[in-house]
Amino acid sequence: MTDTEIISLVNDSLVEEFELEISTMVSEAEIFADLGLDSLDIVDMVVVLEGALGIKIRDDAGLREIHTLGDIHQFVLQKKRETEAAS
Amino acid sequence: MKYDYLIIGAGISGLSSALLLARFGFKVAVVEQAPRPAPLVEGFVRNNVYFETGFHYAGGLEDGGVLDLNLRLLGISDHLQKVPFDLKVYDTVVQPESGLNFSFPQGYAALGDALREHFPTQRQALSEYFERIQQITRKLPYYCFPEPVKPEDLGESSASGLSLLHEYNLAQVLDELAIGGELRTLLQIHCLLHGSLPSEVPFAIHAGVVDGYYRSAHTFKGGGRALVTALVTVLKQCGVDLFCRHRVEEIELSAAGAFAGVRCTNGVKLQASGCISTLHPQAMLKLLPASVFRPVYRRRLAALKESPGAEIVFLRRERKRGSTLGVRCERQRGITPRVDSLPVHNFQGRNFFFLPGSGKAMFDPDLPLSERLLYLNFAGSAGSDASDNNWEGGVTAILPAPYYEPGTEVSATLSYAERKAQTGELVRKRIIELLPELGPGLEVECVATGKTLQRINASAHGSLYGVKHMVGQFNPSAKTRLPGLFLAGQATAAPGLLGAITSALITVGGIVGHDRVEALRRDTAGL
Ligand SMILES: Cc1cc2nc3c(=O)[nH]c(=O)nc-3n(C[C@H](O)[C@H](O)[C@H](O)COP(=O)(O)OP(=O)(O)OC[C@H]3O[C@@H](n4cnc5c(N)ncnc54)[C@H](O)[C@@H]3O)c2cc1C
Repeated sequence: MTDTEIISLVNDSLVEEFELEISTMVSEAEIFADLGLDSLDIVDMVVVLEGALGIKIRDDAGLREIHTLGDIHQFVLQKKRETEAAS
Repeated sequence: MKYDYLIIGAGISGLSSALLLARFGFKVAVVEQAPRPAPLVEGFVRNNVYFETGFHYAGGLEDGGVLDLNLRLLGISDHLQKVPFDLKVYDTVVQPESGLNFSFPQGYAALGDALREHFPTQRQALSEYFERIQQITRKLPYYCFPEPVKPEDLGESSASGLSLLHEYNLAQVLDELAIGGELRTLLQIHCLLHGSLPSEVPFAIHAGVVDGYYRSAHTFKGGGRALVTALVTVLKQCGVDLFCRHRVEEIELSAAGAFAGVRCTNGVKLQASGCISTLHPQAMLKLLPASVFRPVYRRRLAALKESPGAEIVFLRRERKRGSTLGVRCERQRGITPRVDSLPVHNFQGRNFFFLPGSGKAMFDPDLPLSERLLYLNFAGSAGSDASDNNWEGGVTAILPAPYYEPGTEVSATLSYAERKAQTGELVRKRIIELLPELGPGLEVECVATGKTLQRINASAHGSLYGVKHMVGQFNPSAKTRLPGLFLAGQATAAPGLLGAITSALITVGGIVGHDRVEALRRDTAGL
């Protein structure tokens, strides 16, 4: 998968699972203020991302650094690379 | 009357939550569907014999141990008398096929010595394993006294602790330390106490369960029933209302979409500003309109996997030589007492784990009854309650069994009662073969199947401990999206008496502020 494909897969999954508006899915969007998620949604976000991309997310510290949708993309791309490097 | 908090479910977690909230000055009511509180652990008496149901023994009850301090914190210690299990041989693990026969003594030091003697080549690995167990428990929320590790400290916003709970399972740790063979079998046996396989259970959860048992094993005088009596006594003193025979069928919301109250099947409505549900998470979902939670959360809870199903056989021993109780019972039943032939062997305060043959999965429910894992409990001093009613202590046998599916209790050839009788008889014969000392005096009192567990445990499948705790499965945390609704119970922290109380501490800590719970813990620990 290319980075662009991964990003659109992430966006599609989040839109579907969290009932978000596709028009709000820009990388500057703040996940709490603009997308309407809250801290309780983080676990479900992990479940969705793991399911969509076949990765394991165990990085509490990394998750805490996520503020925008763009941060999610970068985070996931890096996890994907780490997973591929490991296998 | 409007309460500050309603607690749904009067199990150990519900009663503990209520006590804690009352301690912080809130007006609390507990709502329970069963006729009496804590139906899972209160046991039952039949023909003058007391049988344990959901409480057989506990770890960490030694003075200053984690459970001991928690009971003090709840203010119930003074109402309970601890009774140690056999100091030298509280848990005996037997694999008849391979000849494995090992008994756990109490305390890390004695256990370490016994294991090192049996497995001299794995000394180093064993020390490291024990070290890792104790190390990781120090990271568990509300495990160490007095200062609790708070859920937030796990570095994760909603308390699942990804790196703590979802990084390693037990099997991986044993692999890493190259612990195999019989030693591995022994270190895995207590998986029965949480119901997840070594390849599933988060190492931290396993450690949080076994650490206490490796330190000490106890019951209470009067068993699970005495525990419930103590909780209810203190609850009443704290002014908590307890509504039994009230089955909650709906959680009601305010116009603003926050928790407002509950409606019960008997028409009673109760109002409160907040609520802690201690139900099975899937049962909790059914009480609310679907729109309250995101679909992704509902799906997550709906997909949680269950701990194993089980069948429980309750057995009674003929009375000890000269026991007037036995004689009276037999007279009542019109039998001339055979005082001379009564067995004398005593397994009081011991458990036995009889393992399936090698290569068979630990909890395989589909093995014939003669080969399945068989747990036998001779509850210490369950033979009398706090008010000194004298009962003999019954023997409990627990075996994994397929999940209960409604309607399947009647087979083509046997009625439900006949099937249960057959199970009881097969298990009785197996026990006598394994422990001939129990001899002909062993009789089946009754048998509980998944159908019974489904009722008392409120799990759809009649599982032992409700949902499993496993790596990669994210159980719900205390907070929910519905303002005013919180969760506690064995699904959220861990199963067992300690798990249920810990869940109450985490949830109430989240409500009142962890600092206030910490202050209470400092008082308890005398600091
Ligand atoms: C066979 C067996 C043996 C066990 N042995 C041990 C042991 O030796 N040591 C140990 O520490 N632990 C043991 N456990 C585990 C321990 O009993 C449980 O983990 C613990 O009691 C769970 O407490 P809880 O409050 O989370 O759940 P529960 O006790 O299940 O509490 C939930 C309560 O909610 C009630 N309820 C359900 N639906 C509704 C509704 N709609 N409205 C109102 N009320 C409702 C239920 O009746 C129940 O009382 C054992 C369990 C089993 C099954």
